[in-house]
Amino acid sequence: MATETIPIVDLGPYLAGEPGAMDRTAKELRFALTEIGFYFIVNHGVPRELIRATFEQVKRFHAQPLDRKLVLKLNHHNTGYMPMRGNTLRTSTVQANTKPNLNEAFFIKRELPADHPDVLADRRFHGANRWPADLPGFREVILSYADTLERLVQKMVRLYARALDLPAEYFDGPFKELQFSLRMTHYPHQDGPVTDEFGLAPHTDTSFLTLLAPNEVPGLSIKTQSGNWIDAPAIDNAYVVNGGQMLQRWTNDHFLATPHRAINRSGGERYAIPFFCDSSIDWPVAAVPTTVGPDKPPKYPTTWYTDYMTWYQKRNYDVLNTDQQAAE
Amino acid sequence: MSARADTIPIIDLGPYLAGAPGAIERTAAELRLALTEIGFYFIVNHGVPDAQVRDAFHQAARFHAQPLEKKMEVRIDKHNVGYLPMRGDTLRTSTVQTVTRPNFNEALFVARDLAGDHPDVVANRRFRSANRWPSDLPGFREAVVAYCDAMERLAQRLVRLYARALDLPLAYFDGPFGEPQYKLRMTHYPPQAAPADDEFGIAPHTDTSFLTLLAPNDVPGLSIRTQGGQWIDAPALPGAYLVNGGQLLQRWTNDFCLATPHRALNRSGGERYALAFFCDSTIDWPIAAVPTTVGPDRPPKYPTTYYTDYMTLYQKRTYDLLADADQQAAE
Repeated sequence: MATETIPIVDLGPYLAGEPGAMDRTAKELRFALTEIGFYFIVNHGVPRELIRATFEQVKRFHAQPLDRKLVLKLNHHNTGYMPMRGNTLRTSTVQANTKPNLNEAFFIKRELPADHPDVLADRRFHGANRWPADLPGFREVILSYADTLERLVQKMVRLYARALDLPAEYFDGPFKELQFSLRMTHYPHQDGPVTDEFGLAPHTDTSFLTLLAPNEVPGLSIKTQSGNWIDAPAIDNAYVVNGGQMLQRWTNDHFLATPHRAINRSGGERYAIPFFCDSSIDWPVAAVPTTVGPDKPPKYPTTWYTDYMTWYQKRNYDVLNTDQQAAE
Repeated sequence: MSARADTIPIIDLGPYLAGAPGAIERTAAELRLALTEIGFYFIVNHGVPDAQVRDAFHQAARFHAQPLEKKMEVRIDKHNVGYLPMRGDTLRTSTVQTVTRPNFNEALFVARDLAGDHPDVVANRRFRSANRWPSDLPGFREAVVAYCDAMERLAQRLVRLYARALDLPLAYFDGPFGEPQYKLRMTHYPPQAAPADDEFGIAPHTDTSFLTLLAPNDVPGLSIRTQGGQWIDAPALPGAYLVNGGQLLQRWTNDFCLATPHRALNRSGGERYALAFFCDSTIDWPIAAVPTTVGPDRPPKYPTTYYTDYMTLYQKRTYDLLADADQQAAE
């Protein structure tokens, strides 16, 4: 039965390797992903200090003058800076959105060396990151945060595997060198309500999973299965986790991609740091064996990250001209 | 279907195993052709030393030279390890032809050599038992385990070619084949001068495996049925392994790859030994069509299955040797 509250999943026992904890936690995860599509995680092992330091860097980035930020304007790899109102969520299946989003954001992906074959070949979504020149220490903190979240995801996908009645190692291969995008968003205060202008308009994510950093400033709302919009509470040091369109494809719609939106009515600035995570760029995205069969054919054709995101981004990002569409 | 479908192709693994640039894709393309057109292929330059192959055959001959009562001490059990005596099984599950007479061979089956205190062994988990070793053949166990290790390593290299042959990432099968489930069958076929119509060393059948590695054999005896319906004899190619896919490969590939019928009959006039290494994914891995072989318009033909379920069903039908409920067996 669907639920109207976002469940809280305690990762502590599982991460500590307690006997039975994996399957118990996987069961909670399965409930969350089939009934509401969002959950909080506590005792996730990400140091509070690292989260705080990361928010500090995001504030520093956005405090720069616009012309400094525009030096790193978003490119076709979807890395760099997206200015305020730089995208409109036309692909939203949640509602017709015509106004651009009232936020600015800086995106990074996995840090690849300049001589990586994919960087040299300018392979889409596998480019080099673009770093601000005048913010000493920024790159180091952000990369340390991304590494920490990557390791957390690699532990979490074992729970996803068990939640899907698969061997615990099932996703180890696909997520060994997972594809991620870290979005560092600034939502200025919005007096609103202007009809259909949002910090981030109602949408579902594209990701397999999204990890939203614990935030003292509220602003996120999600739409439950019964159609109600509910505000995500601010829970101390808890990440908000949700699945997206790729998770639906991996699970033949067994797991949800729940619509959500953001509006900052806090009266001050709001920053948000979602980590969008998918399998390795070369891994085929298709329904896992426990969700298909002769009487339950795959609902979606097999796809790949690059193809899917190329299609998705062409529709949503009008900030930059044709060879420079972008973002998540 | 190409003209090549009437001959078993020979694939040179040398360049791929040596890491030559482009060799993976080239070899995978050859593999794909073999698996879709005829279902059998030879491999040469596979890296398994001749001496090791010879030694494994020697061990098989040593085992079968023992008196029957010694062999019966390690009689086959429900895990399908141990000794299967002559005429111990009838291939009723064969979809190739109606088979009523038992097979004219005897065989020893060996699986991964799990320690006596392995949790699966302790729990008597089906197909995960300890092996049953002859007590009076010093060096037998070591040689056979070493041979299985060599086969396992070779299979783990081969599955990367299977992945590319199926347009999947190279590492796609690394997880499922991290600890492959395997069975080495060490068979003895006595000579059959004038067999009855439906009496075979091994009657026409398809394997159950993802892949089977048949050791290079100086004594011929194997025939395969091509897609055109003809039976052709597999030539004895010195030093070459013969590889084929089975029913679980069909399931993994939604029938994109073949499981080709084959049979064995020893008309050589002397004894024939055969070493078949049947290899499948890790016992707990779900067996279902890989992403490049299914879609909304191409649903999976088979329900997802697991090694244990599939083999339990298969063996119940094939092995009449042992009547006791806990002693049906073999492959």
